[in-house]
Amino acid sequence: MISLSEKEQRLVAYLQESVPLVKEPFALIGEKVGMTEEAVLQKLKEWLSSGIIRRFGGVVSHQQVGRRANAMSLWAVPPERIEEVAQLLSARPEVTHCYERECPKNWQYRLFAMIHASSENECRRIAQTIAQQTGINDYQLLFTVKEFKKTSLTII
Amino acid sequence: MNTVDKRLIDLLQAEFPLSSRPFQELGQALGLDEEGVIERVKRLKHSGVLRRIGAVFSPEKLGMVSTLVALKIPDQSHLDRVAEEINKYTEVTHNYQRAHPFNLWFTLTAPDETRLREIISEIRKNQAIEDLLEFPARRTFKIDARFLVSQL
Repeated sequence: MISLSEKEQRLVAYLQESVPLVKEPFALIGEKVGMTEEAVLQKLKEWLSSGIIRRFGGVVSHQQVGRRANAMSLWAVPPERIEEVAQLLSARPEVTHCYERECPKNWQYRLFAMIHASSENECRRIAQTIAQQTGINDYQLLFTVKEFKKTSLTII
Repeated sequence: MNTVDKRLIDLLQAEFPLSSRPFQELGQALGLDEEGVIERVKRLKHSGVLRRIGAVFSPEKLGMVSTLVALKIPDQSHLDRVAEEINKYTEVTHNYQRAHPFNLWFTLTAPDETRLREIISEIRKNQAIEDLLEFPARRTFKIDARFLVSQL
């Protein structure tokens, strides 16, 4: 883990939660962590451009905005086609996450893509479309039965 | 949610203004005053649509390590209890029961490999678990958990 100054650690702790819903939220965060509003905004922009912060903004509950079904789709893709199939999956707005993963022996599904849609059938249709487009017919959809935990990363 | 709420949700996800008066700026785009925006945001948060407004950190860029773990728990009656034990770790961010012989899947993000191994070996001790597989990411192609609503 990279080293952060004490002030930076305090700032991270605030930014991983929610900004206070007041007129000047960054000034208030600054007050709490011992920085000026300007310094808070500066640090935020710096971390955004270095990629430490992937994005800054609203995080919504997908269930509450009409995406009630979600499936982890697993694709058996030969190594030389991973890139191409991953790009096709990633281009779809319903796919929120797409990774190639290290897998145990005898596990042929190296490509993982999270699909969020209005219904399980809609998830199936999206996967079928991808299968037709790529000719990759060996895939699995692991639907969510129960969400036990979903939180943002706690760094500090 | 009405049309203005939907546009606000999309704007909050697209780009939250990094300025002194972000809600005033959002209001200008929506034709609302600053207080009006803050009120709406509070309401959306209260109703559970909006989880938070904040930073989405990249664990790799912070030098943290993560993995995805799958557990096979043949006796379903033990599943809730195992899931509860796993949830106790703050390093576990997502934990889902899935329709598959490997029926519990969770993500783990730790400050270093030592801590990651420690947690996995602790979890592995649970007698209800028949098998445990790990799937660390090799290449990340997409991470974008934004859900636009105004076009729905």
